[in-house]
Amino acid sequence: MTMASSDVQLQTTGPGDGALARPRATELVTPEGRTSISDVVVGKIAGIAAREVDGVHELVGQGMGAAVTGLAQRVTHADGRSAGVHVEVGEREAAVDFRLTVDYGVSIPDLAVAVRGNVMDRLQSMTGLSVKEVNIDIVDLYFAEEDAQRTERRVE
Amino acid sequence: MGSSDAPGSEVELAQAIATAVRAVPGVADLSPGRFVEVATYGARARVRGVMVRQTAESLDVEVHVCAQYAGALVLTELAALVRESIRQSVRASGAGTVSQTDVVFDDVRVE
Repeated sequence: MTMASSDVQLQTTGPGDGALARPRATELVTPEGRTSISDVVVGKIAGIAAREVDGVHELVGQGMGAAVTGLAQRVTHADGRSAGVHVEVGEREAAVDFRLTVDYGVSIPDLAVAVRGNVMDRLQSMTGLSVKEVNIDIVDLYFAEEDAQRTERRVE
Repeated sequence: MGSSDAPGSEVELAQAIATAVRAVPGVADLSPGRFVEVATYGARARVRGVMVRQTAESLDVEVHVCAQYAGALVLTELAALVRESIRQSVRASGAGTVSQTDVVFDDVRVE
């Protein structure tokens, strides 16, 4: 098989089964049938894997921020696990982009290495995709103390 | 086996398949698909997430699955389990053998 470029469109082989004529899901063809993994699945696994790393506070969606993201999620019944994650999936490779906030005090370079490692591990073992690149965009810091103070003052 | 290939039997088969697939550990649920509804339609029944295509010489099945997230999840292995359970349930219902089973993972669910 040839090297998959980053954005492989699956050519739909076989006579018109419409249901599988969808773009971009990783497929594994065996004699007993196909196994397809949708991009949503890849994105969610990547999101969960990033969150598993201690020091990652939250993943944040693109654009206007939490309010709009929250509204969009309510409307579409999406759970937030793939917000802040963008995946590009080819036949056997994937690229992942994250937007995330981290806890204040962690070493961002070390954290990035850990996120990269965990995401690559999880995706490789769960979906068989090898992850070519993981781009991490740290968009904000999270201060745990600030939150605590704020709640204290309100209680008084 | 004397079972006829009456038009209604596709839905029954799909129902048997749906039950079998739901029982596979690692499967959270069947999924109705992300775009056009994936289902087998019958007289008074609709089985979402399972598509059965029966012709004279072949029996193709397509199932759409929502997987259960767990540390040990391996989607290809889960697909193999799903395939095996479908094979067994089809054989048990006496509808012959499955020629192709397509397994599509539409979603993952985390508790």
